[in-house]
Amino acid sequence: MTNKIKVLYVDDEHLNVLLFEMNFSKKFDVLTGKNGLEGLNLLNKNPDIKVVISDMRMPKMNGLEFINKARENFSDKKYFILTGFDITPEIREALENRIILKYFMKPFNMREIEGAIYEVV
Amino acid sequence: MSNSDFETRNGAPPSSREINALIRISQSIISTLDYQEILQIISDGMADLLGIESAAIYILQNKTDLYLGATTPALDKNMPDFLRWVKLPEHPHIEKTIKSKKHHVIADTSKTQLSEAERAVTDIRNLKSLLYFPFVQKGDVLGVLILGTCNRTQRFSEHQINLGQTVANQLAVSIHNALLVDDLKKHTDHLEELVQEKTQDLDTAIEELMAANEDLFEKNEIINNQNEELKTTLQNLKNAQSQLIQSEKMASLGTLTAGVAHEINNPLNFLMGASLGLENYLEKEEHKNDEDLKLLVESIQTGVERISDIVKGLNQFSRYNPDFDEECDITSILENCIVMMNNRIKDKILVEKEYSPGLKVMGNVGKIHQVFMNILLNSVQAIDDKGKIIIRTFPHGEKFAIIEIEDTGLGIDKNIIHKITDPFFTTKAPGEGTGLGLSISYNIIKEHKGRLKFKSKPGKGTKTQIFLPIT
Repeated sequence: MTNKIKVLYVDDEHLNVLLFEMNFSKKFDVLTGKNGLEGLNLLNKNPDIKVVISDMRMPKMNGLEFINKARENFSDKKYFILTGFDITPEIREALENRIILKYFMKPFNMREIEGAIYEVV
Repeated sequence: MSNSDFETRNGAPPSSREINALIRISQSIISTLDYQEILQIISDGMADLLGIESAAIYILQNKTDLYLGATTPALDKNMPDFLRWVKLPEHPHIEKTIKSKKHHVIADTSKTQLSEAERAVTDIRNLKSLLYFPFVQKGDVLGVLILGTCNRTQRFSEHQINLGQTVANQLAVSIHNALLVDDLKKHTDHLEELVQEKTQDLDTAIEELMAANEDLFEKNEIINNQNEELKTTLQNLKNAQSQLIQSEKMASLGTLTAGVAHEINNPLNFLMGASLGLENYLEKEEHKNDEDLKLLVESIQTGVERISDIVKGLNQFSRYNPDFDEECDITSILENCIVMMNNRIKDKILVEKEYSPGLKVMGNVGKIHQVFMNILLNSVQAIDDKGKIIIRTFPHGEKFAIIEIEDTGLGIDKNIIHKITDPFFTTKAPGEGTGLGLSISYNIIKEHKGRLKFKSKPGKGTKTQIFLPIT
């Protein structure tokens, strides 16, 4: 595993996870989880993860809850949200507080996401 | 008594003295219209003319009453009026004169039978010989002149009697005239009094009316104020109700669209991911020149993008955001509205666009969407069969952006154009419109400190202008 940027993607939709991995693994080292807990576990095991991208609506723990939890131990990671929802007051607030650096909307725009990752890392 | 008696007493020949007396009488009478004064002049004049020291004039009233009009020497001016009235039957000698319409003589009061009242009068000045003349005017007796000597009797000469009666008859005319004038004066006075009384009554009535009016005015003002308050309250209530319904509606619509958008966006994400994967796959050597496959993948991506745009538009329209600090790109908001209304526009309406590129205002994107949407929807609904909508955007000075939406629809009647922004006002059939669209738009524009203007010609179409402040 060379010098590819390690990216964690969390989404409860199996197809989303699969396709993300397929499309981005060429350029990034992609790890995936299907909920917040899995995400936290992966973060614990892979301290070299630089970027975390999470879906917003997931069972038990939503994207922002997961990210807030993750930031308690891994404040140095760059966090993003990728969601089917339009911007909500919650997301706006997270953006303003720099909890997430950006939010992407589904259907994803590959170039947008790539650009953002390269920009922050 | 002879003529020489006159000469001795007055120092002038009777005829010239008499003429002088007559001239004085006539001159005096001419100088006045006052009834009392005229009677006094006659009394004094006749006494002077006939050389008899006492005289009195009684005027007959109501056939049985006598009024003591004047005496020589004159009565005390302060004598109460009621003392001047006497009853005719109590004065038989006057009565006799009146009845006979001829002069009457009492040669010696001490030797003649007098009534008690007559006796009382004669006793005052110790009158001895009395000469009565009736004042006859056109056959009616107006009154009686009585001349009398004091303390001594006198035999009245034929000349005295003839002269006295002749002059008395002449003076009757003056008395009659004076009576008429007096009557007239009394009437006038009475009328004046009546007028004054009525004027006073009127004044009082006017004052009362004015007071009542003032009271009414005050009450009216109170009622008007209350009415105004009620109107305002009602309007506020209507506005509140419409806003409540609107915010409720928008909130549920927002939840709904956000949910639906999310559900659509996820499968779109699959499609996008899959098509990107496919694209990647097609870059492999063996597929590099397969244009058909490339076209198929591109079609998927175009489809995904278009659906995504619609969903984004929906989201923007129903997005809940209380702030007014977003940069609103007028062109893109209008375009988004047109996309969302496409199914109602195509085949039916030609949309002409004259956009001012890059025109932006500060405000609330979602709310401005609603305004454009409502107004465009009204234009679309106003066009029955086929028609045209022209959308123009341009800056108005440095402070305002104008968005003009003109249609060739039915137009708005003059009678209702002032009501179209009232909450719940609609010309649409029940169930087809809530009557809230324009009222909400109007409120949103007010919130943005903008203005809304309509120009309409029934049968020709409507032009709506939205003024929004640029900053």
